Amino acid sequence: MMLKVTTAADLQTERLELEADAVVVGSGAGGAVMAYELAAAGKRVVVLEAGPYVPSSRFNEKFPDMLELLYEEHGNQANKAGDLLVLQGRCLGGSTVVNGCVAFRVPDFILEKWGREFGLTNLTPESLAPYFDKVERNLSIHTNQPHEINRNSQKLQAGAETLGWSVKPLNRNIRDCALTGHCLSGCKTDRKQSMLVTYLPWASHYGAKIYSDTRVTRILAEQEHGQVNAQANRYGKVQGVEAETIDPLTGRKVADVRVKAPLVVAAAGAVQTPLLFLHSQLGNASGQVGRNFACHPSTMIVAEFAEEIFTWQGAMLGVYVDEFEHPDKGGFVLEGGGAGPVELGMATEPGTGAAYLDFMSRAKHYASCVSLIHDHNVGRVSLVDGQKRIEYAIDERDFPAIKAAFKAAARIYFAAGAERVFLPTGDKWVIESVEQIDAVVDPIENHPFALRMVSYHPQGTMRMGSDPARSVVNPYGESHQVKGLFVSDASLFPTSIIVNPQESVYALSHYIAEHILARAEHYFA
Amino acid sequence: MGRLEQCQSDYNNQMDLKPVSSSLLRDLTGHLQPLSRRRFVANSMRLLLLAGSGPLLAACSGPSRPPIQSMQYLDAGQAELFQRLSEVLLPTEGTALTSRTEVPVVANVDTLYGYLPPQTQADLSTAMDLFEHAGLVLGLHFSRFTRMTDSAAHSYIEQWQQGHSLQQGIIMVLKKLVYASYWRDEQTWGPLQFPGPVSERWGLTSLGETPLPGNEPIGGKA
Ligand SMILES: Cc1cc2nc3c(=O)[nH]c(=O)nc-3n(C[C@H](O)[C@H](O)[C@H](O)COP(=O)(O)OP(=O)(O)OC[C@H]3O[C@@H](n4cnc5c(N)ncnc54)[C@H](O)[C@@H]3O)c2cc1C
Repeated sequence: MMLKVTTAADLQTERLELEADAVVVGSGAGGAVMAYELAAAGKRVVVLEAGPYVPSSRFNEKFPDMLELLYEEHGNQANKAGDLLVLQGRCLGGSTVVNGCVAFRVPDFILEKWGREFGLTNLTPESLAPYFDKVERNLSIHTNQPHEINRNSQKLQAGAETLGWSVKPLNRNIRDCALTGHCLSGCKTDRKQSMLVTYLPWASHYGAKIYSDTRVTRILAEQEHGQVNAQANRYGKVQGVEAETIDPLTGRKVADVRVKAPLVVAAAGAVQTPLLFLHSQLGNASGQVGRNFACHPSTMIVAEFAEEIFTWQGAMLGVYVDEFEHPDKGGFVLEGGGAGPVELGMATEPGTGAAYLDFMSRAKHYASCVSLIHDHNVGRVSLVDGQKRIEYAIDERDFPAIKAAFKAAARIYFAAGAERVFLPTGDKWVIESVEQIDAVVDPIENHPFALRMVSYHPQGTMRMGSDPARSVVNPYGESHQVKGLFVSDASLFPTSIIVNPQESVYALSHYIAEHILARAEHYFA
Repeated sequence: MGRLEQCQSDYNNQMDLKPVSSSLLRDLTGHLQPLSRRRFVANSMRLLLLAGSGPLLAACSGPSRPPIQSMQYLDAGQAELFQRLSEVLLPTEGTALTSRTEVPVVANVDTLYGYLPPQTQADLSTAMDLFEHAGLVLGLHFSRFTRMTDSAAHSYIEQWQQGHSLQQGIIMVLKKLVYASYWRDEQTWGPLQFPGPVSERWGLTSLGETPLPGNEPIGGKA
């Protein structure tokens, strides 16, 4: 089976007109699953992906090169203040190509909250279980075996166990992991079960047509009185999309593309999907499009041990501490995650000049873990003068969780025998002993650049809910206003889900696809 | 008239002020005001930002350095700033680490800078100007950054690190650009025993696309 993709280089025409039953915008976690499920059910599907098609043979296992090749804004996408890097894949397969393979089902307590606060009573652990079961089977999601837990994760595990805290092996979507540690640069030998080697080729097998280098610029919808897109944000029916194919090498437009389809699924990710709606001036009667951005702001805590750890060796992510996962217990998790020199070199502030080089020269002695918190949906993605803007600052309600995560990580590492712990702060904060933990962490204040934060999990900007006044799409992912216009990506989550989101996006997308197919006569007449 | 006041009056006489329009300017001067004598810093900062670089600033500071060429994206002044930053931030002499001089740090910064969106480039450019020139009015350095001695440059950086959050942000970004530009070079990995790419060396073969699964619909539950 060979992945058939039409790239900018393949296009011989300046104007491409296509017709389909469904057009899927974006080929990441949400888009690929949707494309496959619809195509497998016999629908004519077109997938439009803004990023390039980069076959895995071109992944060179050098993170900076791959940031530039595979990531949104070449790895430089940030919030307006500049103190939060927002990483997303921008290539065929989306973020699934560059992610760390960790797979979780959305926690039950989150689904309960969604039911209670957003009317999503259709989404229960029981109703979603068959979808999770199926994607877990399809993507070889399994619990890390002992050989997949490297020395880095063993330290986290040992420390947590000493303290009597709950620590578990992570689940990952990978076949026969080769333990290279290069997940974030794409999996060169196709062991990671990203969309590039699973749902996209499967969708293609069932006839889905995949276009890379093709960015959707506008969703087209017909008003009840027949005008297209006039009078924004009124009720109507989707008609298709407009897009442009751009040569990734020159940046020049190769073709204008128009796809006519009675069903449009926006799966461009939690930053781009709201921008697309805003640009199309569609589906925003609630004013919620682009609001409620959450992102699991992630920080990396580094601990120094006398012995050699080689944090970059072996499976990148091994175990996690879930002792504090529930918001009542702190609302954070710690995942044993490795890092190479580039990431370690920017993870903390060990001092200037000789002090910095001294820190780096001991790199093989470091263990590292990342914290994820259940952050409030306080951010916003918007269009300002036609340009993307991401606004996000750590909410005062969330800062204690971040500090609690620092303290817990430090306790764990000291319990495992660490000599010192470096905090991911703007200024130099080093903890030399367990007795110092509170004294060092307590004074840290919440202000811009106080922390070194990366978001791998943008979410929440196209809130799903039963109340059209408070949400953008209904409990099945369909726009409250525009019939046939669906969203199926991480932007749906009405709250942050605390754990890594990919599996929940797959399952939700699958769930929405089933809903569409069960009502095919409404959409594909 | 002292050296500082002389500089100030020279600025006031300068006619070819280059406007740096940005809300950042307002932010920066506002945020930096509490750090020193209020009016003096506000005025000086504004003038410094407006002036950009020029012969006047050179005259107010230490010995000049061999000229550095502009690069594809960085102008000569910016390239010089990163050159000096890399010297101060990466004093590899006498360590087991790869010599900074063997790594094209500034060229790598230039590449990274080229990837930034235009607005970020503009903001960063203003921040670089500020970092380069603020030493003339803040912290008794009386010198632009690229003319400071090693120890003065070191303490100037530390001062920014502990300064207002905006100063912290600027120095954090500048440091990150330099560090990323150094560590991205494969030559720097050996001393850390970081192996870099391994799949080919280990003879790993691709598993290719995953075989098509069975696809029974879940069946009317959605
Ligand atoms: C470095 C990294 C590590 C991660 N690690 C993990 C992990 O270990 N476990 C986990 O669960 N999650 C992880 N994630 C997150 C996870 O991959 C995402 O949550 C998930 O892929 C989101 O799915 P999505 O469909 O919303 O968006 P994506 O998968 O990002 O797909 C969106 C796609 O839409 C395309 N697109 C954007 N705009 C347009 C447009 N206008 N027209 C056409 N196409 C467009 C993009 O190029 C992209 O390909 C990680 C993410 C990153 C970046």
